Amino acid sequence: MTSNQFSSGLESANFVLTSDPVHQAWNAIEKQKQINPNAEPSLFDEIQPENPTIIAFGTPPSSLSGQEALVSSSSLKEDNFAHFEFLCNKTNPNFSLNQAAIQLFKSQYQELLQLKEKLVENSKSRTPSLVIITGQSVGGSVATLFTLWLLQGLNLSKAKRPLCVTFGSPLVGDEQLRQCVLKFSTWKSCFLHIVSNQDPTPQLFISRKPGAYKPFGTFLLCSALGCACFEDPDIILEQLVKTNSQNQECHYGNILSDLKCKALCNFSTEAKLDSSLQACLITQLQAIGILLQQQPSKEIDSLIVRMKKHETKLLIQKKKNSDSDKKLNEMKVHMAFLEWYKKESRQPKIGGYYDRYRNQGNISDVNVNEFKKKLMNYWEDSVTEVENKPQIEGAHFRVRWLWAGTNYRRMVEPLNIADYYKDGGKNYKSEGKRPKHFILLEKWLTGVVKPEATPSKSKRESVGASLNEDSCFWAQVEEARILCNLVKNGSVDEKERALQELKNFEADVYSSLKNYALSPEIFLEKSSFMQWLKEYKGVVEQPYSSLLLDFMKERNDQAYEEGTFIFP
Amino acid sequence: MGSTSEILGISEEYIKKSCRLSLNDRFSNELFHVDKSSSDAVFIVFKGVCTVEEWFSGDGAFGETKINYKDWSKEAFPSMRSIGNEDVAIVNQAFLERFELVTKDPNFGKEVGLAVEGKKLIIFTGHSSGGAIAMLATIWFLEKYGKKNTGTAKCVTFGAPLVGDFIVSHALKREKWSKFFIHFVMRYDIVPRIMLAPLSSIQQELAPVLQYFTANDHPYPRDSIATNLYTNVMRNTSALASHAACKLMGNTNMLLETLTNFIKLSPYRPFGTYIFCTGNGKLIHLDNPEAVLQLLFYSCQLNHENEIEATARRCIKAHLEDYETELLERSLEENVVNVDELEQLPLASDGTALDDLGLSTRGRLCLRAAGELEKQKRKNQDQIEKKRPEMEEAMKGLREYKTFNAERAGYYNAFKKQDEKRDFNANVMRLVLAGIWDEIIEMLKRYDLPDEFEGEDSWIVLGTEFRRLVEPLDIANYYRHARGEDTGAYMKKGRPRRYRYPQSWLEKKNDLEKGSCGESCFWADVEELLKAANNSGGKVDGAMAVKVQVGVAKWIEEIEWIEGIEDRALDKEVFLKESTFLQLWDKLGPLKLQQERIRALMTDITNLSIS
Repeated sequence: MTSNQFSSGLESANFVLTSDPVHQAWNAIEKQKQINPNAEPSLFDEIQPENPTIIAFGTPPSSLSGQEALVSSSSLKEDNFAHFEFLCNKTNPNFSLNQAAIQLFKSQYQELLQLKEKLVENSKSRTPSLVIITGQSVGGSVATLFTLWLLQGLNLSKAKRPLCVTFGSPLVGDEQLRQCVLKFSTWKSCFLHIVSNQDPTPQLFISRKPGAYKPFGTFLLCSALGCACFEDPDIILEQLVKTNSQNQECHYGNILSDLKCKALCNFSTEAKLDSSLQACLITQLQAIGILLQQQPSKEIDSLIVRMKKHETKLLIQKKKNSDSDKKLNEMKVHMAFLEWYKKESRQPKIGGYYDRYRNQGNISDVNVNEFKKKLMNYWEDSVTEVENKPQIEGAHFRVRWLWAGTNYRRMVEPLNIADYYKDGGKNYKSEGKRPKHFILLEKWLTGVVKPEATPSKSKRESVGASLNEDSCFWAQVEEARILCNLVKNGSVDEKERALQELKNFEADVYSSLKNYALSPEIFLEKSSFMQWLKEYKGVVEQPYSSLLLDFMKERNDQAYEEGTFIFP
Repeated sequence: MGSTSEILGISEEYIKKSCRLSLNDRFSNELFHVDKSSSDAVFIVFKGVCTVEEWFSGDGAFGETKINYKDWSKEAFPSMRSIGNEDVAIVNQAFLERFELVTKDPNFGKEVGLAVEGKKLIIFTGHSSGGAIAMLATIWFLEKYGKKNTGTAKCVTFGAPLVGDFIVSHALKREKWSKFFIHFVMRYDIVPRIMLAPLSSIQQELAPVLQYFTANDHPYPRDSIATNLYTNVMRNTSALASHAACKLMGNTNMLLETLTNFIKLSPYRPFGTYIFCTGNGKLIHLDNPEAVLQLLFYSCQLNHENEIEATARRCIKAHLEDYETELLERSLEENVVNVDELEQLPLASDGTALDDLGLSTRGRLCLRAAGELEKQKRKNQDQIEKKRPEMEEAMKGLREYKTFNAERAGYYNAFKKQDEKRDFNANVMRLVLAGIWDEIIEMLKRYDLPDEFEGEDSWIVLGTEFRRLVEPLDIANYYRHARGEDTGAYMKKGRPRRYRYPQSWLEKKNDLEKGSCGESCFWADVEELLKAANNSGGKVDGAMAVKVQVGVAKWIEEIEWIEGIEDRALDKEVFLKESTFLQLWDKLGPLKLQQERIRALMTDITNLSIS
């Protein structure tokens, strides 16, 4: 498998190098230095108003040494600076940023806010201008922070992504920050960090605080011989530390134009190799000046092994993405099986698929158990994935996906409830026994669908084939049956409370029926619901009459099933 | 390794003659020149053009336009598109305009017609931009005569600029026309690379260089002009080649996508067979367009930065001077080296002919990736071919389902009701087929299958059978869940790509208009009409009502028969007693057409089912 794998680090580097934006960014930095050398009072300048809009962040003259301290997002929040909280998500509730960079950001907050609003406004215009945000050294760090902040305001399904190019910048945050950024599917593709092996700045913080900082985005590592793109954070860290030069300020303009000329030249670095991947990686290491001799050392060998692992990871990820459609189709087949199971169980003597499954009398119930498991695994994963997306991105999930999930929930959760109560369980809903993905699917649906005042004609007509809207309906029936038992055998106090709850449940059922939100299958002779009804009639004080009992007595369930019954 | 003529399908004599005629500037005032001095071949030679406006016209940054931008070109090049995805080919507008002039010359059509009648081979040829016109002429010829095999043609070009985008290459391969194009390119000729740079980057240099190329006595331009031209063209070629290589290598870094928004990449790509002349007599033959694109960059790199002026000069001279020495003064026989199995190309120089193109390890890796991608596409197809038995099994099951129901309510209605176990089984079979077909369509969308796929008869047949047999079930399913109520009509909102694509294939194959093979959507029209008829306030779409009825009459009349296709477009089940169509028919009232045939059939079948 590895023999036909490639790594395109050299090719993407060449593409970056030969295309304009990188050079435009550097020219903007040069210009910014000219017009505002101390980056005061404004930290940034708009160098070009449109196509592309170029914002260059300057570097204040103060030294970077001793500036490696990190500050956590939670303490920023305590300080009333919560502008980066949007990055947090369930699995990463906290992250840390370089204090010096965030300090600079804070000091210009008002100006930056104006800039952000202007750029967001621009992104909504009919012909929005593309945006490049750039900076050298710590200016690049602030540019990175600003770009993250800007991304939060953009609607990327419509607007084009901005490009943030940094030159020789120190890293801005920790592993958690990296994780947070990765949760946004396209954000990391906005960051290009250019680092020369002659520039000591990018490694400053890393060597002072080993392990604290982690990079994100693409790194273009340059040497006098060439350049290559890297994405794997650990390999980038390792390479950054290797720069050993005391140059104070690196002139990236010269470095880039030099490399751009070299790009037209053919270097006869030859590798007598057979594996494409191995050759790709070796030529990359040659380009960034790590591998000079023909025969790689042990250290290089182990580096190459790790690089290969990274490439394989990318490949697996890619395959996983392309397999997801296939999986979805498989799930459709499983749902079709359940639909049939439900249909087959729709007989008075069986009492519907809920009771059939609960009684487990048939070989096909075992198969159903299989489908149920597979479907639950799939949806659990699927929901977790959406849940872990940061809120602003999570909100954009497809309505279609949510409907498929809703259909699944209404079909499968009753089976889960049946398993639970069959094993003597109680309080499915109230004691935290309900699987989380059901809860979330239900919550998300209420955010999308507004309940109707009266059921529409088409809703009534299709009630025959529908599922209970409340996927926990059967849990309530089970609870109600337990309550009936309590009325019969419990203490006086218990009796009274139980009876009241039963009456509440009865009223709920009736209003659900009024809304055509229950499947007529609940009226099948042997169903748990009908048994509850019988038990209920036995325990309630006599004479007793109610809307539901009248409805049943008048055999209105027939008309209900046909969708012709109009509730008074 | 075979002889030149075996590999190229054209004799050495004809190649040399094409070259001689193309380089001859005696006819520089003509649009084209016809040479009939050979007994069994006619040479149509196109002359190059010399002003910048004749190379770049229109508003495109690269002088590009959609091939269907005018009525005449839309008619002349109906195949130059991808079928399912409906991407239309992009070509150079100036060259297309030049070719339009050619077609307007009555002499051109006459000469071509005569050659076809005389069963002669037509060789369209030209040097430089003349070669570009020759390519368009050949495509035009193939569109006109290629399908019915009434004429044969070859296109032989020398140092021609690129004229079309990836879709041209894709479509030529699909139509199996790719092999008719042979392009000779000197390793250091700048012209085949020129179209990879935007006009704005080379505008100033282009005019003097073109003048030098075409006018006899024009002096060689200043060295700085040559150097600028070389640098800008090669830099753009390099960016494009790297961008393409990233894709070939399966790059997943989306930074590339972000960056691509900021720049314009040339749409042009090579197509057909390329022969790179190394300068020492070797002729390197490749027909993988992705690999050719990579070679256009890698074979023209500098060996050292200080060589730039010399190389730039060489790149301009080569276009004018080298074809003659390289192709006319040598024997071509035995010098053609065919490069295939690119994915196994050695990564270092190994003494074979590719060394003569000066390929670095990096360049060789890109060629390998190009070969690997082709191989991957074939593997993808193998994978779906393996699913054929599974597909056929499900189709067989559904055919039985259809036959079973033909004596009852018809399978459309039965499926819609979903009363019986067999309806459920049919649904599972439908889902199995849908899964496989969706996978195929996804691959087509990403161009992950061989270019030939959408033209393969066996898949067109299978696709049509699938569409006719299964789409009614999808429609039944759609309307069973009453999805039309809130999401709109099936045809507008619900029709899956797995039916759209095969319909387009069939229409393309039979040269039919778009939308003319929509027979599998019959039930969707009926449902929509019925919905309108049932809705007291609704208005029945009269035109659609007529269309449905005429359609029924037509399909039953001329039982459409396509070679090898088992499933009929429509069956008599349309008229079964409980059929949705009959429900509609009852309600059509004044819109009912007096189609004799429909009436007769209905009486027939009603009687049948009564008795």
